[in-house]
Amino acid sequence: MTVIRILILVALQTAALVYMIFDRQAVLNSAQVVTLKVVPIDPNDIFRGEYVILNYDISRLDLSKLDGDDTMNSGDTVFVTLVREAETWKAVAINRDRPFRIQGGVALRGSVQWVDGASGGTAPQSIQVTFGIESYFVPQGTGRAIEDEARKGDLSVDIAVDAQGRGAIKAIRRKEGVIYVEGIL
Amino acid sequence: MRPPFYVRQVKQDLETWISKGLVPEESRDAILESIGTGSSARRLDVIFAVFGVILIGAGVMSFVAANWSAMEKLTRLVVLFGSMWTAYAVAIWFMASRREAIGQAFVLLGVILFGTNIMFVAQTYNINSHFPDGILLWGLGAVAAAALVPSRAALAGALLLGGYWTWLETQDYNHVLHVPFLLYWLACAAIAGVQNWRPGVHLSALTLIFWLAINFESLSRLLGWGDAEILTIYVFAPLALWSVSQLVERDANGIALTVGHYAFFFFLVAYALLHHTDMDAQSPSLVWFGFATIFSLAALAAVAWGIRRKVFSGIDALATAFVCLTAMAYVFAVGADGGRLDLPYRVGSLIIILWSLGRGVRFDDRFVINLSTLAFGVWFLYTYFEMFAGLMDQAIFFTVGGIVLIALSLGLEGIRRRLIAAAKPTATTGAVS
Repeated sequence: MTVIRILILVALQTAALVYMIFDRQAVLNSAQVVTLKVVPIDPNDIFRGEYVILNYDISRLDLSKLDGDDTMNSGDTVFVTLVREAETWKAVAINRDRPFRIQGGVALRGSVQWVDGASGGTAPQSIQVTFGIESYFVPQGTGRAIEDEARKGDLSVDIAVDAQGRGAIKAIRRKEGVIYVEGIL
Repeated sequence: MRPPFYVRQVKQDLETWISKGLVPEESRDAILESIGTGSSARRLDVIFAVFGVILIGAGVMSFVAANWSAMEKLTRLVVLFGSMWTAYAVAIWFMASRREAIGQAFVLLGVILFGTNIMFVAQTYNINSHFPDGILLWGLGAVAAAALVPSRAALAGALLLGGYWTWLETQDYNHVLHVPFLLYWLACAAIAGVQNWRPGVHLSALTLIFWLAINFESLSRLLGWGDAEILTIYVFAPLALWSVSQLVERDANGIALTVGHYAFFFFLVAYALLHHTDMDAQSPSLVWFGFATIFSLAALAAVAWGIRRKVFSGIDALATAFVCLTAMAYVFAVGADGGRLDLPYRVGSLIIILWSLGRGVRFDDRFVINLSTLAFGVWFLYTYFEMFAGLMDQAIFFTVGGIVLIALSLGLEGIRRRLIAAAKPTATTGAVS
């Protein structure tokens, strides 16, 4: 009996881990891909190795320049609508509810980290949003090279966006070509 | 589940009976086993086994971390899943060989590896989502292990992970009143109850107290109540819970005994802190008054019922009513500044401490006696510092304060011992938790 119970436990825990992997793959397999320009820095996580932190143009948004909702609170879930402009994509609107699809636009789901200028009852001027695509683990010793690429303004990231607006890093690119491509194995 | 005082007493008596030839020596282990305890040597086995798996876990994690960059994704997955499955396979093997303790230790290792696998899989696939969700998933894996195997170590781990999860949600992610934790906690507490595991009940109670403490501000924001109103929740609810638990305690239920002690402790601490809150000049809300009335009546009804069953006396009923009325009166009277209520509050606190001490002696409840003695010491020092700090020269104040402190520690210890010695043992409520 104990054997069966432990086997059920193993099955449950394995299923949870496998779900994590396949859920991520489902997002990556999405047909919708946007390219964002990045400015990374390279902190070092002692436990997990090296990763780059990726800042995007759409990470900090000036609400007065965007369509959609004017008031936001820290912790709000938001949808940032992106449209293609030359090689990369730019934010044109922000909403707390999922917006109707704009022609050629993609809604990326994020969370408001902090709000600037909300005091005194006025509408916030700018907000910081995270999308779950702000860090990327790289092999030990390669973080600095990626940062140098970013400083030259050559780095961009392909983000796969699924039907719910969830984003996942699909590839990291420089002018000469792709640096990393995400895959299941 | 037997209370520790009972186990200690049986162990002591058992040695006497064996020395007198009343009980054969070879029956010792079987008798101890029947009351839920084993020999020290066996417990040492368990401790060594747990330490061993922690070392193995650290070794596996170090190996993975050291070779992480060099591994392909497939290799990583084989190592991560393989180590977890191996831990559970070894657990099954030991359990099948009737080596339960070591088997349990490997189940714990499996749970630890499940947690590290979540982190490593998230890193491998760059899953950068809401961090507390990872801790929750780990905790749920531990809850599953606690319920299915069943594993007490996994339950302890699940409660600690739950505490960390709710801390992250409330402190780092500003979650207002983290209610989902209560569902998680209920599952853990239920498992501790079903398994009749006293340390699990203790840990459950401590985790809930931790949640209540870190959600104080959230409750205040959510309900729009003043600090004093919120703190009375922490007075009335545990008071009612304690009163009800005393009715169950007569049936010598170890869990009710432990729950009752925690509720009594929590209510006493909350009542003591009440004077450090105010209402910021706002009036008490009608909803709060309704809440306070319902819980006060619940506590009083339990006490009234308990008088018939002889677990409460008329003094207990008066004291319970006194606690409820003074806590409610405090909220109505405090306004923006509680300074003018200093003296009545101090008198009220002393009355409650003395009642608690008396009740501890009447029911031979060593926990309540110790708690009341400690509360009296704190009350005395607080009063001394509040009353004389501004009146005496600093040098005299600190010298006298030091002498008072030493005298108090010696005097209170003596009083506590005399009270415990004088307390009449009762068959059903001799309580130490």
